[in-house]
Amino acid sequence: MKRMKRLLAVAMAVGLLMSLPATANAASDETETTSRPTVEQVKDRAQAAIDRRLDTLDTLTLRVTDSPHMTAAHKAVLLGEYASAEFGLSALGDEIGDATTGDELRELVPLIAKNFRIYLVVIPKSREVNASDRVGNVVERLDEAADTVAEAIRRGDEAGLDMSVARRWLISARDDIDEARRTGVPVAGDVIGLQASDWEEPASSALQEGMRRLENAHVDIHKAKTSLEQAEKAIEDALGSTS
Amino acid sequence: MNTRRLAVLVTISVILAACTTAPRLAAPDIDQADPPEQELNQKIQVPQTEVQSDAGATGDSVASQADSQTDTPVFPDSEQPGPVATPVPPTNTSKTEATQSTTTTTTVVASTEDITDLLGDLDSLLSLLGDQVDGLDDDLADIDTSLTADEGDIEG
Repeated sequence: MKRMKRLLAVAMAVGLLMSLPATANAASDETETTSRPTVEQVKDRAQAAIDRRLDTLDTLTLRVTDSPHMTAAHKAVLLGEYASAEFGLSALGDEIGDATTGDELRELVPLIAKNFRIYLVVIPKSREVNASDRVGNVVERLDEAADTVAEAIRRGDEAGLDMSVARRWLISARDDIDEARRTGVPVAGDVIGLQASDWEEPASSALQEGMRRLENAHVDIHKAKTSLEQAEKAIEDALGSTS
Repeated sequence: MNTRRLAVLVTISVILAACTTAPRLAAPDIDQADPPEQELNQKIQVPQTEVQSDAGATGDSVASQADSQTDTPVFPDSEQPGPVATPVPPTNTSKTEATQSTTTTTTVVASTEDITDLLGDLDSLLSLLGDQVDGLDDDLADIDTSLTADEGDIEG
């Protein structure tokens, strides 16, 4: 009887031990199924990535076309690049669609990012060109406002009013306007030529430098605007002192 | 005979002398009534009313001076005063002083009005600039976002 019990215990232990590898194999099979997608799944994901980029290019095209301050020359360059990228992405999508093996896909799919760099180069450079041209536009308006202040000061002088405070604010505004022009306006020319092949360098550094200069121009523009407002107030005060 | 001739000669010379001296004695009266000066004296008193009513009608030098005063624009064309604003002639002041004070007042009024107009233009420009600067704020925020992006699900 005792011998029978021992045999049963041994048989159960052996059975347990034999079942463990089977469980482990089943688990690894499930993992392999989820981590290694099929060729069709890869194609679907690639096409979704291409579509997302084509949508982004459509949005960029609309924004650049409608931009009221971007120069015509910059618009022509950017719109040409968008059209070229759309053509290239569509062609790449066709190649991926025709692929039949994992090896082909491993070669083609990374080109969606590498050959176009829509998110790392095209979008930031387009935005910097837009901002830089806006700085140019703002600087022109600031010049116009400064000229108006100068004319008001001249007439105030003729009328015998004390324009000294207004004149000091105008000088300060002119300095800030010049600085904004010097730092912000050239950015568009510096980054518009960047291509996908320029990633990561020199594109990354050029885009970071462009951002830094635009931020500086932004500060100078705020200062210039404040100085012109102060000049206006000083003229109003001078006028008020005569009445 | 000689005596008689002498008397006749003396008489004739006395008569001649009387005839030549009579006009000279009367001359000062004529000079005082010299027409040009009298006319000038009358016209000097005229301009006070003439300047206001019909400047430039006489054509002489005094009237020309009146012309120059009335031709000076006191207000811009668009703000010419109507008939109610009849200029009041200066009292107890010489013509020169009146002209100077009018000119000075004219310059100040015109300039301050022009300056006020310019400040209105400046307000419009600064308002437009405010919108542009706000747009630039958005541009920079977008750039900042895009510089920290990556190529997403395809990268690598």
